[in-house]
Amino acid sequence: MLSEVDSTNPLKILVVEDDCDVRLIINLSLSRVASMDVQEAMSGQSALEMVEKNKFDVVLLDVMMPDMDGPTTLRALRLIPGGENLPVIFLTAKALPNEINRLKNTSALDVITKPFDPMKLGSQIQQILDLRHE
Amino acid sequence: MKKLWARHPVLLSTLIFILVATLAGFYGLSPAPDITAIVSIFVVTITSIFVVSIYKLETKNSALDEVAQIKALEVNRLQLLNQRIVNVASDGIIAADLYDHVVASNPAARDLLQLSLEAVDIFSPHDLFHLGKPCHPKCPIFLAVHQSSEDLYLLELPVKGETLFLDVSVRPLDGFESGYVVIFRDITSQTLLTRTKEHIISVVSHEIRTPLTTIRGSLGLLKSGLFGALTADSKELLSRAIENSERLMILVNDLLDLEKIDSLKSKLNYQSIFLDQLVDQAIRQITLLSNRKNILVKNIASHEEITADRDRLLQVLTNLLHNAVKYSDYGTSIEISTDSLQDEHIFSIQDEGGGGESQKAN
Repeated sequence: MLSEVDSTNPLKILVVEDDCDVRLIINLSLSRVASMDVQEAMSGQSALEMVEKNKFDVVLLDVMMPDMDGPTTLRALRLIPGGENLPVIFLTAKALPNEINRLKNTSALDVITKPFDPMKLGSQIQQILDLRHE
Repeated sequence: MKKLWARHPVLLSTLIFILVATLAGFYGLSPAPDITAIVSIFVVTITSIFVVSIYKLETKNSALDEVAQIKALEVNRLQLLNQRIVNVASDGIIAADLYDHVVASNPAARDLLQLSLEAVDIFSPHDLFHLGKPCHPKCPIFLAVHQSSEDLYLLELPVKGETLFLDVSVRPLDGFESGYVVIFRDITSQTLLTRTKEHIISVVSHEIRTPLTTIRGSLGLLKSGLFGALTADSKELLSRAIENSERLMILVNDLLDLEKIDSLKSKLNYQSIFLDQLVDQAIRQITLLSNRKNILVKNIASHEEITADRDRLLQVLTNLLHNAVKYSDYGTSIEISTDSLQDEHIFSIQDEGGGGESQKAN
């Protein structure tokens, strides 16, 4: 099981989201409420570059993005050093069951749907990571 | 022999006459009969009987011919009728033998597949409905021919640069292992319409959910107090804003549910549930709102076990309860009870405002 998030060893998370407003909410929610170490990427391409240069505990990946969408980014991520086994959680505003099922059938750990409760987003992510180790 | 006499009384009378004349001559009662005359009478009688028989036979034959002609005309008429029915059918129909040679096709089939009458003769339905792939044990044509299976399947078929969506069924023809008939219906426009509708709903849902994420997120973070202390009024206003953004979210989800019901994709997941436990669960869903308005929600539902879709029923109950709490005055109470009539179960939600609501679940 992953250690609980604390100020001395915060969970390092990469948030990949093209909408700057949503990105701000996620950043504030995860850094201020869940005390995580948050880094931001505004596209799939910049996310890949950041993963190559930095070590992250988890990636929160938006699905609908211009140029490179979430599933494409995930596939590219699995091919670069450091990305092979990196836990990825999709964040999506899509809600049709077949769309969610398609996302769950990828190498991502789980799917969180928008809109989310900013007070619970951090614990949701932690719960998904914990379940992975059970 | 008896029948012969019955059929030919003239022959019988002639023979009796000859016998009587011969006997009378023999006993001297009359002059002895002339043998030549007797033979002549006999020959004339036989000949007349023969001629009459032939005449009767001819008459019978011509009557039979007439019947046969009428029957043949009837068969011909039915064949033409069947042919006309097949020809005017809007479904494509192709019949083939076991060697995949087309033995019949209707104009709709040729129009849909854009094949001429000559081209259809050299075309193999098996190849076409396999999309060029080799035959396999799950092939509907194989199953129809060898196992008399009559499954319906959807085929996405490229025809001259366009994609055709066909509902295809294959039926065995003339019994086991004799051939098959492929019947297909063009459902391209319905399929494209459904896909467009799904796409629009998906996009609309996405476009609403994204700004809602920012609104709901900002309100939640502000209310947490992490960005500065709030007055009681500010907290109350933020609570109402959060509550209504959540209502908006429920409306978007309802829109998605409507789409699911419309496209018949929503399958009910039946399971065993207890009425009182389900009501407890619905009450928990609206606790935040009921506590805020100091409303007491009483569960007086019976502990009866029913079979229903828990999630759908919970959604209905929660929506009704949410409305009841929303439109009830501060400090009042709401009661949820149940009534069971054979296979029908009625949930009643009663508030003090007199605006009771009920929902049936079977």
